[in-house]
Amino acid sequence: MSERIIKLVVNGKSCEVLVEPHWTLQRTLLYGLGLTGSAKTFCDHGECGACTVIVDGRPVLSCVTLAIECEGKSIETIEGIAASGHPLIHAYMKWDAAQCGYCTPGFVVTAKALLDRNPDPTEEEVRQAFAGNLCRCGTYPRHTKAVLEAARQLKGETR
Amino acid sequence: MEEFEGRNQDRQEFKVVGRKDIPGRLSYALVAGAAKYAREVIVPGMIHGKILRSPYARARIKGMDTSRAKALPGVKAVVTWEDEQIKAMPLLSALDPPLFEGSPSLAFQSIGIPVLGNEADREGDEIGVCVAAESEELCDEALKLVDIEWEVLPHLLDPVKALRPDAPILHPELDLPSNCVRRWGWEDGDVEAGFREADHIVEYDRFFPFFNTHKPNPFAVVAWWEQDHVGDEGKTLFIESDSYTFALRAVMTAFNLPEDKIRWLTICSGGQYCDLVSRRLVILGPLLADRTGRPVRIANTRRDSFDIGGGGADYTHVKIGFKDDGMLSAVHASVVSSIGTRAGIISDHSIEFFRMTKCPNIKSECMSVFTNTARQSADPGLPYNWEVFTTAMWRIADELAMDPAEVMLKNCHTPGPSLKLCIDKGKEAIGWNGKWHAPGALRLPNGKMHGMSFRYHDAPRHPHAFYTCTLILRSDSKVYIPHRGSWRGVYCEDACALVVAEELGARPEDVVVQFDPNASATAVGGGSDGGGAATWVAKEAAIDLKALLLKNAAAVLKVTPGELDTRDSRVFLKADPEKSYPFGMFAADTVFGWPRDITTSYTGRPPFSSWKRDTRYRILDTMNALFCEVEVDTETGDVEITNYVAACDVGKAIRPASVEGQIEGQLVMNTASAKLEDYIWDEKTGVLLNGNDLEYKVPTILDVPPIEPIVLETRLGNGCYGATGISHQIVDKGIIACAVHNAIGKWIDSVPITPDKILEALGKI
Repeated sequence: MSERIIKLVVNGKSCEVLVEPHWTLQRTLLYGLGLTGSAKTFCDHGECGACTVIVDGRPVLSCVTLAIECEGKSIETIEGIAASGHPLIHAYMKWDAAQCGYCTPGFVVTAKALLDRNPDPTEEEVRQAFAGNLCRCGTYPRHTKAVLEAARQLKGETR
Repeated sequence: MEEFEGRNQDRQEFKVVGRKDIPGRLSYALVAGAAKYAREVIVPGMIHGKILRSPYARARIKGMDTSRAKALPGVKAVVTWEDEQIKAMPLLSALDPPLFEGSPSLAFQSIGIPVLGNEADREGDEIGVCVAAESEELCDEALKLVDIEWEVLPHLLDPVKALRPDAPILHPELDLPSNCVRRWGWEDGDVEAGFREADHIVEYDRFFPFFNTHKPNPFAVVAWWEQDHVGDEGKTLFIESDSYTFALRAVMTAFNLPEDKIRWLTICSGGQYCDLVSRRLVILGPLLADRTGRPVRIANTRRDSFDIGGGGADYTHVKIGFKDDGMLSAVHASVVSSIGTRAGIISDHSIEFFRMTKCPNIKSECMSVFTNTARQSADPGLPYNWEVFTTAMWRIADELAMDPAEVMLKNCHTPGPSLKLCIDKGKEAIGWNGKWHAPGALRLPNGKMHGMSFRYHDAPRHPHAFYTCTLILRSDSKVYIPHRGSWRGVYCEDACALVVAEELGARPEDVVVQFDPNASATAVGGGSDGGGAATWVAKEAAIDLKALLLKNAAAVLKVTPGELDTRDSRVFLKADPEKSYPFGMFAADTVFGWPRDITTSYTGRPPFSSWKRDTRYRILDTMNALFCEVEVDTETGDVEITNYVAACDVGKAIRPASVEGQIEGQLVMNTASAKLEDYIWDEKTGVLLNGNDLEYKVPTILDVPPIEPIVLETRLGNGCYGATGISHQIVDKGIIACAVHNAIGKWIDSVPITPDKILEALGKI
């Protein structure tokens, strides 16, 4: 099989990328589009959530998703979420929810997908949403605080 | 306190330090995905490299034919262990040269390894040959085409078995009589006399295995050589790789380069914890780049990252003697510790923590032993066998039917005020006085057995290294802190910026930590233990800068410096505070108005104290107390940690959210090593069986119980404003063992505490 061009909508912008058939979406984001924020390699086997992106509204693990499966789909990465000024970013900063920071974008993307479909999650729902995200630094308790605060901000309850 | 220097205790009022509503500015890059880590770096023209990894736990390459690999289209270089440049390189050591040479407190040592050799110390060890090619897949294919004649050698996984007389000597080249690479030992008082005085003597064994440091971003390097456009003649090595801190010297030595010919461009290291070990890729990446004339990237996989184990694999035999009132009269502990393979860190796993007690007779013996497992480093969960101390206190309480808290307070040589405060607050938060019960005495309505435990420890009071902080005030009224990294998180750097703002009277947003690859090699920041000291250094630098600023301002305003002060990045007249001027006005030439930086630099650290090995008693100014509750299902053997309370005297919390995050992180790691994590090697082959994130159980958010951090501030530490470090000593796997004992009345003497061990202790299997 040979290289082919696929069309993606990444963070709202249409683009064409030359990929090999075996390339994962993670590899495509990194080497095809130069997007390093979500293209993290923690486990590289779909076990850690560090490479999570949102594809057509659903969080997926980009390290175990083939790029060619994403033809024509809309992909949201941490770069897009940050550029949009999503309240998750500053809530994470306020609560110091990042330590080394390597896994953090995966958490934020997962949280964005959660808040998109459930704007008013309970703490337990946040915990369940993060069940597939690993953090070696042990920041877990910070994430629920940050996500619940971002949810409150999205509802206009706080600034 | 007489050892305090500098101007530490002067400040009583804080405007920005200690506030929870000032987000860490640097953390934006981490959260927003803008931070760059080495393995995500892409350089034009970049190719890839890989190093052969041994399929055997211990083996030697007798012969090698690389001709088929070299002939593979797309392969750019094949370099073997017989390469003359490689053979001429000095051995690669974890600490080269020994970082702490001469230090009385941290006698870390390491046995060097060839940058690329023909012997493998463990399954997965880099050996024999490395390749560079147009893609990672081609590298894999090329390595498969290398024909190798292996000599498989007998291996050893267990340090106790490695000491048997009939065990093969793993490193005959070192001319050691056994696989023990170093013996450590010391004795306070007369231990035998202490045991004779004892009313009770208890002996027991503890074991805990290696646990993987599990750096989130597996090590990587991207390296290339080019003439520096502002340098003198000769190529400069540009390198993107994780923490330069320990690897820079290795690179300089290997390539005989002065530091000005190396540009270490990576600032974000990711989670490196106390993994101090330099990897071979940091030398072989630049070597392949030199051979190919192209930028070369070598990136370890997750499985490769199981090369480093924290904490050693320690077997500890403990003998304690104590009086009827619970007072220790003698302690003797013998530790057999696996340091794993060469190039790991050989560190003393002694029982120094018993020096927190009044016990006059303590004897510690430790043997560090080679095995074919993982290289020993440190974190996460640094405390080696400190659980031995906690379990000793509980065994005394158990034997005498006393409250363990009473036993601990009696034995601690300086039980107040910090320790008493921690214990009182912690007990109150967890409801100790209403819940505490005898071992095995409380079955809950859900059918599970309830247990709780408690321990104390001193807080880390200072770091092990000097720090440097340079401050530059510019005409834009901002203060810049040039910073080389490496950042293992930014909590420490953000804290330094806050302290500078506090001392200088600047707005927090006007203090900018700025990446500068040429900044001082010992930049501000570091591990969380170093936080108290890095901020102390930043404070001292800021005090100096403020004095210079006011001197300049006084000259311009024709007053004395004493008539001026600062607030909100402005200088104002004390007599007329409404008259104020931006900082930048005084960072300018007074004749022409041209910008003129005001710069200060401070190098140092707070006074060195409590980790001194020759100190009879550890200094216990700042303490912490950790409490937990568990529920044990006696049918399934499952242990659920239901609650942690950590009352920590941090001296002074510079950034409270960071402090709480550090406490929580340590307790997540504590849960991991107490319940979940364990390397599993195949006994027969020495092959690692769980080198992935499915079978090696890093905890998820669902494994983490509620954690209540209680941050106390006595200002008794010797860091900035009396701060201490916060991590490390919070962790104690022994607290879970004690809680399980409190639940079921049985001791589980090894971690992780898994259901099979519970059921075995209960006689059910």
